[in-house]
Amino acid sequence: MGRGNLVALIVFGIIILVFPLVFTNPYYLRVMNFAGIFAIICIGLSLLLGYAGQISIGQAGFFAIGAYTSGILTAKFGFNVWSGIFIGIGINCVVAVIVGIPTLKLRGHYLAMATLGIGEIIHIVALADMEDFTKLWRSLGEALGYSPSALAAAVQPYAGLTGGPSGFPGIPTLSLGPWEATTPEQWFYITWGVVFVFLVLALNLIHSRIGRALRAIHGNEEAARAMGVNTPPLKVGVFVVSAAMASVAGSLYAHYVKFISPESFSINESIHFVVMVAVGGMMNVWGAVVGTIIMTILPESLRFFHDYDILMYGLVLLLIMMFMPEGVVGLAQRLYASTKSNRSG
Amino acid sequence: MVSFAEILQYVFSGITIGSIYAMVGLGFTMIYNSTSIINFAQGEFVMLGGLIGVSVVIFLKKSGFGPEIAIPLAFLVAVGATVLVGMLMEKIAIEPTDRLTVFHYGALAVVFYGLARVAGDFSQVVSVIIAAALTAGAYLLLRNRSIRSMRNPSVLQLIIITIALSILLRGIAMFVFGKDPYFMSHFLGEKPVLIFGATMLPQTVLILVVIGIVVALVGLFFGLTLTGKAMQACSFNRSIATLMGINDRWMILLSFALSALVGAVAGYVVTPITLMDYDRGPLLALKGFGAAVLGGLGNGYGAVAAGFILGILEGLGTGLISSGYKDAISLIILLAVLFYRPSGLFGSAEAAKFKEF
Repeated sequence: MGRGNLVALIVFGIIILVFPLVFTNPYYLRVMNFAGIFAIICIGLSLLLGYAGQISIGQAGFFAIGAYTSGILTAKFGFNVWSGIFIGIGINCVVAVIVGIPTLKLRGHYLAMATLGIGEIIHIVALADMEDFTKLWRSLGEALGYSPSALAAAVQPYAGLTGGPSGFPGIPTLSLGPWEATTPEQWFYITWGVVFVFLVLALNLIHSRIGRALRAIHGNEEAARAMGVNTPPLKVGVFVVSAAMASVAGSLYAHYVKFISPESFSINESIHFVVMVAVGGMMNVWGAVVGTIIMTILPESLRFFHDYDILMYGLVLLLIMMFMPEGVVGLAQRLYASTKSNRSG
Repeated sequence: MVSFAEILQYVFSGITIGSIYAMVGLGFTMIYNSTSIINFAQGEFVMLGGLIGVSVVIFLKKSGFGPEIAIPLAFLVAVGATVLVGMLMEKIAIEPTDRLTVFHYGALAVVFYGLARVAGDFSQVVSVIIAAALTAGAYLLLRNRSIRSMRNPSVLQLIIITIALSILLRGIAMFVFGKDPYFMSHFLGEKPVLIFGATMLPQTVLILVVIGIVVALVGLFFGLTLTGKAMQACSFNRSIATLMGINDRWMILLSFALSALVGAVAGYVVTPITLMDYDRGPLLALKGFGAAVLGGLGNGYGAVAAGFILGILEGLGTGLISSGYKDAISLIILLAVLFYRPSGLFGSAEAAKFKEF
């Protein structure tokens, strides 16, 4: 994966190990834990956006499936946390394959619209309360010719599992045998450990034959096909990988916050993930990590502006996109390259 | 079983929401045609038209004007102000430039003033002086700098810029109008009209009339005037249109102005029925985008028709299935159309192949 990336990974690993020792304030650690969870999603999204060139504005939907699967299985059916995480990944992969095959035939704005729609449908399913659920099955029964009340009674045990608009509490924390993650430091090592592992996986993927094929798709899909790259399974494959990553992030989120509600998984969240990747720099997975950290810390530091924080957030985003569209990491790379060429030349 | 009158009632309520989607979709189409970007701040034009309109009506009524003067006057102010916002948006953030223009320094001065007021807690006079000094400093520092990234902005960059603008406009609206929804009394009273056993508010009739007029005027503008034809030429092929002596930058500015106008008109006339608050934009933009895609991206009449179709489906879904799933219903239909007829209901498949996305 190249010497530069190896050095960067070692430095990144050391920063992860040292960070909680230096910043012991639990508030800082909490902010960074959320940044870590979002970074997991953004690494997957960056593979999709920056390497395969496919935009998805529906990542919050996969994030939601992971979170709700873990949350419902552990809090309501007493499953083990790990089985919840893996079942979540499984469900997400199946959904991503089913959704991805027709969706990834689309391009550009149409693809954006389709992924946006799918993310929003998942959000709506989570948002619907018991009354909506019963009513839906009743009218379905009526339309299909079943007895509406019998069908409603059959699905009744599943009504209200998502808790509707207010969500549900009581999700257990992550545990392994007798050990339980309770302090913010432990959670910091868990979330950022997962980020580290996924980053290594992503970098390996990019520098493999598959990664080169993906970049070819990004450059020009027709040309890639002409050169013998079988594009459809590759595109769906990356989509599934990004959905699986979002699922892990969702499960971690559910176990960390111990409470989930639909507002954490709305369209705005999906758009935030795209923004995070864009701010960091789309042409590099490191950009996803850097962008997530910046865009998570920024609103927190803007709390100083009280009610005006949304205004400042919009302004900063606008300025970054207007004056450094290659993202923070892209800009850093360009500056580094230009100083190097100045020195040698 | 559901009666015919009941179904008609759901259709009527769908037409009201559909008319907003139609207008937002039309706005999307105009900007997409001239720039091939999707303007995510489109819903904010509707929000601004509504909120500015209500505030002006309230102000005028307080100053003793009757509704027959206040309502049309507020309409003009709301639409004019929103058009101005749309044009400023284009001048500051979208138009490719080498150097910062007077618009950028103007925006910078406003930002400095705001920062001085909010973060520094200075008085108005002191803030003006601080803002003027800082802007002058920025001008001296930046006047000879060429900004490479603004010369050839990529489409994705422009899309995220419009997302940022939408967040910014929402922030400004929250700052100016507060977080609570605004009420406005119906323009023609609230005595419903009876049609085949279903009722329709006079305001709904008014909305349909106004939107019919807007669509007709836009159609006439594109079909009959030289400027309208020049805009169409730009949307077909910008470089050739420029070679023919058409000022393409002016056309883009005009497309932002027109699409802000359409949004603001819709926002103003629907506010009595739907109420309006600062956070209304994003969902409207999503549905309007849906309408634009469903109608065949780039096809204005298609967007309007698709907007009404989406609205009516939503109305029926709310009544017959459940209000919680109403958005899912229109989205599933939208996805089905995308998968089986990606060129949209009214777009041509051949034309779609040549479009830049």
